[in-house]
Amino acid sequence: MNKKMICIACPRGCAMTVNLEGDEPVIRGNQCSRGLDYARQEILQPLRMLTTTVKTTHPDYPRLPVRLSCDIPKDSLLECMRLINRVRVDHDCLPGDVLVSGVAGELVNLIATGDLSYDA
Amino acid sequence: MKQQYDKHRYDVVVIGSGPAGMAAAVSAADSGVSVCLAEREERMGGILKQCIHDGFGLIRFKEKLTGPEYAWRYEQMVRKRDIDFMGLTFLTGIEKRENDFKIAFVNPERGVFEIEAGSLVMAMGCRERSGRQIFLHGERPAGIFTAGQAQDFINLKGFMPGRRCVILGSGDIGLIMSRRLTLEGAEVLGVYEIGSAPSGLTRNIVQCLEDYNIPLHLETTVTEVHGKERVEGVTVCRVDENKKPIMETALFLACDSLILSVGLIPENDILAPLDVDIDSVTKGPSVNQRQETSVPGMFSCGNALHVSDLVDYVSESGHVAGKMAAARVLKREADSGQMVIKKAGILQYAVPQNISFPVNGQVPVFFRPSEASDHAEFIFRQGERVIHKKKLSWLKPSEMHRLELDLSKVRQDGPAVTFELKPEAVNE
Ligand SMILES: Cc1cc2nc3c(=O)[nH]c(=O)nc-3n(C[C@H](O)[C@H](O)[C@H](O)COP(=O)(O)OP(=O)(O)OC[C@H]3O[C@@H](n4cnc5c(N)ncnc54)[C@H](O)[C@@H]3O)c2cc1C
Repeated sequence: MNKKMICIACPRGCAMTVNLEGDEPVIRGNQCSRGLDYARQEILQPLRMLTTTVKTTHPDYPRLPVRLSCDIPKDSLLECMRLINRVRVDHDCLPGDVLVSGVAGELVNLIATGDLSYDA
Repeated sequence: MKQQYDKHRYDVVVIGSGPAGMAAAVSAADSGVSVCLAEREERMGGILKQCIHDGFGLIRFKEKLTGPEYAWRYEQMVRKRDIDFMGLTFLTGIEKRENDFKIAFVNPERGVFEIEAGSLVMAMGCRERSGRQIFLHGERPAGIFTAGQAQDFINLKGFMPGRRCVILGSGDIGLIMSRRLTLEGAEVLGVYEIGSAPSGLTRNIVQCLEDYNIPLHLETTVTEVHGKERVEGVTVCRVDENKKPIMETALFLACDSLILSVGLIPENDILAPLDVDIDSVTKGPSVNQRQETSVPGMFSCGNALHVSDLVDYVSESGHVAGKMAAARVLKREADSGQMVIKKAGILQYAVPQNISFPVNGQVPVFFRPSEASDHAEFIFRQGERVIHKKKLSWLKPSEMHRLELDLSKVRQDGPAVTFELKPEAVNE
């Protein structure tokens, strides 16, 4: 059985085919090793990055952009959104700061991607 | 970085502080000239501030960053240098004088004021095409947004533009907003594209539509918007090969918002009084390999020059423009000649459009094909003499290409220079 797949690791978007007949999947069409990693993971369990925003108490900047510290299973994205939507930030922060540790399972942290400063 | 608002003259003034303008200011400052970075918004970063998704910086930083993270890195580079940043400052006019420019601005602190500049870097980005520009007529109910407006509302202001949305056009911003709206709890009924292929990147079709089961309807468009105060629905219709709606296929969709993702246009209206040569395809100025426009001393970069799909390329073009703008001030030497580069084959456009002499070294060249082709060869020649050839695969008009070419092999007294993109039949 041949499965067609578009690699989403970079903007090039290689069109790949994955043959699942043997013990190891045979992957074709990738132009770099990231394509192999992506295809192997996609067969096992598709993972995605989640980026969104959280509320702040800042008068001028009501939203702070955030991401997770690693990719999570695709089918848990909406559940994760529900957890993140409860977060509210009321302090200064810089890109890279951990806002909540263990936001979606123990190992996944919520990271600020923007800066917020309360002293004007 | 100084906050100094009373200076009246700078060697280089950069307009717009998106990734292009920040890079230009950094490179100009590194050349040792005085630099002012003017921005109409309060903060630096341009459009990246609202692009909270990831995928930026794979080339420039070898990392997958979100838009705000990418902007933050450049903002730190600007702040470390002796660059005067003027926020909330809107450019209103440019006057070209014999050896410099007089630029008019307005800001809350100084009101209307003028600054003189040795050279100018235009980095104003692009704007989105609106409903009127794609001939969407009728009532003007609330609920029609461009994708970038919707992105600004959700990501910066925290407002939802609608609960049941139809997306018109399959540009990347529309695809990214389809996912964003879905994650925020809205229902996206579908993406409707008049063309026979999506205009956004394939990876965005996968990770923004397929992942969320959002249907993509090709060769289909919106023909009518219903509702007086607020959008109540739209009529969608398939189109024939001449893009004319097939009325029998009309279908009413109940929705409360219509999001447009129908293309970007470089922002250059301010250049009109100066008679700057504009490329009719890119809608940005025609430039030479130094990214200098037809007005000597005026440089262009980023999305104002031509709309890029990668911010990494935008930054690169900013660095070139900033460095060259500084070089113009340091060494005012007239060019010894200019040559227009001809286009051939399936080349939609190529930047730079001209070569100025003397030339030295490798320069990046950016281009898009006019049609899709599995395999093609890019040929750089002067007359019949081939200077460089490169084979390329999987070309699409929606994806930009970059090549580095050695222009110093071009002879000033030689015949015309051509960039040709030749489709190839390959037997596998
Ligand atoms: C929705 C969206 C998604 C994108 N996704 C990706 C992606 O996934 N990966 C990727 O690599 N790239 C992506 N891009 C592309 C990238 O963000 C842009 O190419 C890049 O931001 C363009 O940079 P710029 O500096 O040319 O313009 P901008 O970022 O638009 O900056 C222009 C600046 O000029 C200022 N300005 C304009 N006119 C004036 C004036 N008259 N006076 C003073 N200031 C003025 C504006 O306020 C603005 O700050 C995306 C773009 C958009 C819009």
